[in-house]
Amino acid sequence: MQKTTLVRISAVLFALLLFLGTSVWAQKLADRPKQAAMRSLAYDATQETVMEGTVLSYSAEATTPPIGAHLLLQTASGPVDLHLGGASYLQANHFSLAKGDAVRVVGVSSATRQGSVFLVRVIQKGGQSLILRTAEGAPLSLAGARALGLQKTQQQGGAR
Amino acid sequence: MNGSIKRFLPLAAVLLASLCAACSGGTAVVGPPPPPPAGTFSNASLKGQYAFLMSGTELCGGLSTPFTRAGSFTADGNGHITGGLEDVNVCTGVFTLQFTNSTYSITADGRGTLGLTNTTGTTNYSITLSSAIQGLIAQTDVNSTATGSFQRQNAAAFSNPAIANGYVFDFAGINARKNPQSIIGRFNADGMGGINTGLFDSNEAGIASNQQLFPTGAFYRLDTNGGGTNFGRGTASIAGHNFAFYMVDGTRLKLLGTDFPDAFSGEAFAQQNISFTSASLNSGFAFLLGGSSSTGPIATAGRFTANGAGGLSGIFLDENNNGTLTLLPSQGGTVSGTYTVDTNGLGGGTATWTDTKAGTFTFIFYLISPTEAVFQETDSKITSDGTFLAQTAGPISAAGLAGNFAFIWSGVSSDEEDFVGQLKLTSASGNNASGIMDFNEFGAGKQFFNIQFSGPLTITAPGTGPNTLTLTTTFPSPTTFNFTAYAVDSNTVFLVGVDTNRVIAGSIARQP
Repeated sequence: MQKTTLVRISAVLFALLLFLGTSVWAQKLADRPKQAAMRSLAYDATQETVMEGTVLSYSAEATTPPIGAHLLLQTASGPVDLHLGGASYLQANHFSLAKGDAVRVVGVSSATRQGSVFLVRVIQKGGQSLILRTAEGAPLSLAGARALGLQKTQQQGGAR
Repeated sequence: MNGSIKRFLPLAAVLLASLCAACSGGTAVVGPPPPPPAGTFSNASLKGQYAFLMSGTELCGGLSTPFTRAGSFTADGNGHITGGLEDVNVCTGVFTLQFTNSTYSITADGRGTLGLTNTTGTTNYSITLSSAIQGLIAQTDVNSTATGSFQRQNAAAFSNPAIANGYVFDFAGINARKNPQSIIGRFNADGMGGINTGLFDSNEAGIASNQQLFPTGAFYRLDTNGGGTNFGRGTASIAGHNFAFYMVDGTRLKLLGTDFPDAFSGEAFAQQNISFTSASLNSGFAFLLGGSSSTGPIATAGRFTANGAGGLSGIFLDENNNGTLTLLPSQGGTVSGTYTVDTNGLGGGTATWTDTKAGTFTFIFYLISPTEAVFQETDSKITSDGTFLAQTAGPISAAGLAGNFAFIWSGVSSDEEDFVGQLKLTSASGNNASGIMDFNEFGAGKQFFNIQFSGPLTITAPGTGPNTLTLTTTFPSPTTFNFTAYAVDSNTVFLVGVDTNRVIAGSIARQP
């Protein structure tokens, strides 16, 4: 057999071995157990609902968990405790809330040992709308300015 | 990790310190003069090249925003920083910055301050040495706060061949989709810059990926422009993400994600070269996790016993989910669990336990050795990662824990708050814990120095389960921190805050 043919066969074998190796390797991937049932305070996007009402009170730092900004909203079915995430995210987006404001929210109701709280993903007031959570339910306040897509010149003064 | 919850609890930089072992213009608050520090540390204790990794919060466009930094500094043993290099991932991008001359100081108790100067100015830090080899660090600038650790580098190991064989890694941060993400896994380095046999599990916003193969193109390489040989800096692609890294030595790498606007950071540890099985886990383990849930930061600590055959018992857990506490076993409940170790022998595995009242908790891990692992929670909508370490058989007692410890806590109240200092424990009953610390209350724009505290550490026999530590500061105003303390051994203790107005966690490490 000519040398070039041997090389070609060798290359084909090598490629085949690589493929087989990859296949075998892929089969070795561990099959992790399915996730546990939703824990309290989990944002289940399949359960999203829309709620409208009038602000009874707004607290940037509520004394009851979950920590963060809370809104007590008077709805047709009674007052509801809304969790908005970090108050600074509202402030940075010039979104203010006060008693008597009419608001519309999209989110998920979640049970806690202290009662139920409505985790807000989108809040609307008048013509203003603000997204507060990602589609997966993570508070955008966690990402800070990275959630706003802020780029050059936005960093506050000081050394890095 | 905060005037409102600004961010997740990125504990990786703090927690991994347990393994193997801005600008001016803010308000500085200095406590009453403390007693003269006692101990054997001095400026001479910090001498040589040290690799560091920190994650924290910077002020950006008026918003608290996550950032990371990793690098290397050189201390001359006489109060001077003589050079170094760092990579930062801030809200304006990723930058590599050279350090010029600056200063540091270390007092006898191992506490000190450090300034790192680059072309943008000087960043300021409080540090506590746990030994001359390593220490804990917190940034104390008004526009940036962060926590992490540093270890002395072995410059002789600054080469590609020194990075070889198996490594286990843990990365965490915010991704381009603005979701929190944790990635843990393992790979083989071939000693020539190539990476193979890469496996990882990703958790994005509490949605687990299941185990994945590395995408093609994984690599690592030391810089060839002087950064490699001088500072141990290199670049790598791991689990589909790009990083800059700094070598401590061939057994430990500190990595910073460079795929802006992602902001990941973490560490990689040389994996023991054995084929792992269920029998590899056969002792008690203490764990600590930090991250975020659907409402904000979350921190969890606990312990379990693995029986070497897939069974878990003796399970305790304290979870602070943005102020909502879950303690296992729950009142009137019982907990049972199981674990698996992947049949491929590479050290991946799962742990699951169920409390009859509180429900099921699921985790994955990658073993570094039979005594340590990176650990990730995979419960729905929770993104949290950390470590578990083999516990001493016990018992743990106040007398056994007596001594001096370096500590670091990171947390969120109204905004991120970072603490570093020294804790003294005595064998006395009652008020047996005291210490002194510096901390950065980022939301308030205030930095506190030389703040003394005291309180009781109460050990519940045999001491390997949940213990309580209550510490109170009296200046500038009375503040009490309530922790559950899980001892790894008499040298290391994991702490998780159980107050409902803050989420905080950290660890203490014995000083010589």
